[in-house]
Amino acid sequence: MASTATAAELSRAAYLRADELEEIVRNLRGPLGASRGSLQNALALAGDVPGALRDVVKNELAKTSDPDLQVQILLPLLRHTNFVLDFVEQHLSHGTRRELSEALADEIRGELSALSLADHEVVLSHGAADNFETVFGDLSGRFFGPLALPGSASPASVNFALFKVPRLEGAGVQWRPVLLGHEVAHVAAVSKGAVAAFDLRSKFDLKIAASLPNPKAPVGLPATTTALRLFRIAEAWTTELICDLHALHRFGPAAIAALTEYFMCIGAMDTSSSTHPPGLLRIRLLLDHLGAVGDTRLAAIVAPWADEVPPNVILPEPWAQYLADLFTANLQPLAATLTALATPQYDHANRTSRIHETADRISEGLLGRDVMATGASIEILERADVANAVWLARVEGAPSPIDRLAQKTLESIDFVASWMDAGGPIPVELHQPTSDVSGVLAAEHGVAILSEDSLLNRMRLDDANKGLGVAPALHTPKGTGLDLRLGTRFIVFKRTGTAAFDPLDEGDDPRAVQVFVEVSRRERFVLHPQEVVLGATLEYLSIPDDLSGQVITRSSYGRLGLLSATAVQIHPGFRGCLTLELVNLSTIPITLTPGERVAQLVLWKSSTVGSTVEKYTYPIGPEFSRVRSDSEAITLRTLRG
Amino acid sequence: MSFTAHTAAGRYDLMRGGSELVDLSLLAARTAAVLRRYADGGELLPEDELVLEAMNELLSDAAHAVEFFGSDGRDGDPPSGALAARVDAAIDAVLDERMQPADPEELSAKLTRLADRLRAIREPWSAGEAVTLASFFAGLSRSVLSQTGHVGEVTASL
Repeated sequence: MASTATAAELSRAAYLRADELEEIVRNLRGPLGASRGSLQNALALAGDVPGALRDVVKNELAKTSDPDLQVQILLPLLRHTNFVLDFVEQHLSHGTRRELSEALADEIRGELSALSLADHEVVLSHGAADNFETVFGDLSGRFFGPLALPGSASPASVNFALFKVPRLEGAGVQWRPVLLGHEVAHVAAVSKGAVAAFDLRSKFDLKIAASLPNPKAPVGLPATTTALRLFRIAEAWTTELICDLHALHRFGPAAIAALTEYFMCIGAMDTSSSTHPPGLLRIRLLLDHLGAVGDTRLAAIVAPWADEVPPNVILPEPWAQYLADLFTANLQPLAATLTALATPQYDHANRTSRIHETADRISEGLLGRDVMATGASIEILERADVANAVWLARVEGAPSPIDRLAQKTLESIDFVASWMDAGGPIPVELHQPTSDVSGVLAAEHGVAILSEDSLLNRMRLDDANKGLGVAPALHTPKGTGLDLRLGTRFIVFKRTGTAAFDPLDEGDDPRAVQVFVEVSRRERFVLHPQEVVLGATLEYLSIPDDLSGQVITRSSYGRLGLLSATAVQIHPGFRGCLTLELVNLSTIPITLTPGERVAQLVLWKSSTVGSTVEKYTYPIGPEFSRVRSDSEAITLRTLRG
Repeated sequence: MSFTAHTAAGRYDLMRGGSELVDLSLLAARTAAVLRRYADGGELLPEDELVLEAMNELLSDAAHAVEFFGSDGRDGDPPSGALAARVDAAIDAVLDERMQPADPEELSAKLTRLADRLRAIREPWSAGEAVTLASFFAGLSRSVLSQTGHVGEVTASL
């Protein structure tokens, strides 16, 4: 029997935790800009929990005088409060850290939109190294359901999809099929009726199931319970397998490579659990559903993983074998459930040439061709093309940073698509490639600085050494220059206790005084008077080996006090996004939006230079200074003693 | 009264750790409180009736689940997976050791009897019946909540 004193102490425990949660949420919300909408909204909901908790504790204690019953009610309320606190820690505490690309969150929003679930707010953060964690549904209902007294009003429902992803596989293009194909499908699999469409009941033999002890029903439980629990496991496996098939549906062969590699790395191939089928079964079903891949190069994406999976999956546990046999026999009905999700199928067989080209380009340090003009129409590269291309480049041993180049290709695709959606024009002539190298070079005879015609010809020239790669290319050159746009990535100085930064001191890391930030294309970046930041061009450039040039500030921005301060020289053969050292020399803050044409590229003929060891290789954003690695740094350190 | 429980947090719990079980624990505790107040001569408030209605619905779902699986799928429909953890915990709560191995019909009937009694709360009660029932739901609340907690800190030697 609980005493009145115990009940009183537990009510104080609840009030104390309400105060703490209030403070935690306040501290998390404070630094967030208004543009971090989904995270802001989730924290706003969490911020209302303490008030609701205080109210419910007060009301429940007023209704019940028996301390025993008071304790009985207070304990689950305290447990719920812990869950809310835990949820805030796990999913909502990453604040303004921008380690995961905002473009990735946009991709997830795009996939949710394809699943007709655009109403879900997306929150993305890093989680454990060996697993994805996806939670979705009405966050308001989950926070306030237990706190609302029956009959009282709760806040309106708000759907969220929150993803905690491993640092590597969550951010990498190679594993997009896991995140965008499988995990995002979880949000839709039940609510869109895909799991119900499988009609597990008609395929599941309850008599057999009743005789199969399983992880949810150990030996000794009644047959009824044993059957019920195995049915629950079968439901969970159905959902997982549908989500796997959706990954294959959306990404083709890359899905098999991504899922198998991931399963093998986290140890999920052989284990049958109450929530997940073993990887062996999952991949076997995907391979069977995909069938033979006709294209030799594409087949190489799948081959290393197909080698790992036997034609017939044999599992040690009888219950798991029963389920494996059930799903193997019903693969076609399982695949047919995807019609309920209603997402377009990726037709890899008809995309082979684009996949090959993209793989070849990123292997050479170029971006995939984001836009291709066919006659007067514009075709945008598909995201799944890039996912397959990056696996192809990987399996063929590409020496370049393929994942970074694939990431930038996806961002370029995304920007172009948004640009077109917003009514932005794209000159078709920019995207009609030509292979006439000698013709283009002959037309430049006697030219020193390239003018608009020469620049356009170079942009159209499909040649790794002589072509001028610009992605995204949204406008034609004018005069003797090509305008360049502001990207989404910045390195900014922070206030620190560092007395001075010594470029020659091996112990002085620029990260001690600078921090990397990324904004989405919908956000703004405010540059304050006298502030210097490192930005980068939105465009990924590949400069021909016979041209060099400079980047200068556009005069329209220079007149506002915005200058691109230093490091304006561009060497022949440079590939990457150009770093812009931006400084605001005016007396008022300047608001900058990604995509603004802030700079101008001027190119001139130069002698062809041989390849040199580059300090900055294929950057897709500003990079921290590597002045400490200058070849003569050791000499200078020795000189000064 | 003891309970055997084997439910685990489902994949779809928004919180990790079985928040559906916390919901069930709270519902059972509130049910116990309502029954105790009623047994003590208190009035039934509108929100009390909503508590009893929610518990009644859950017990009925559990009874239907047992009927379905007990009849090898001949009777009724498979239960929705959405509330699986709650329904399974309710079944476990009724499935005490005296019913091992359980007769599905008896189990389903017991769940239905409990649901019916809550629905007919204004019908006459035998001596001590409401108190016994309140104790049952208090026990259910404790049992379910115990599955959501932790035993203490995590320690490990490297």
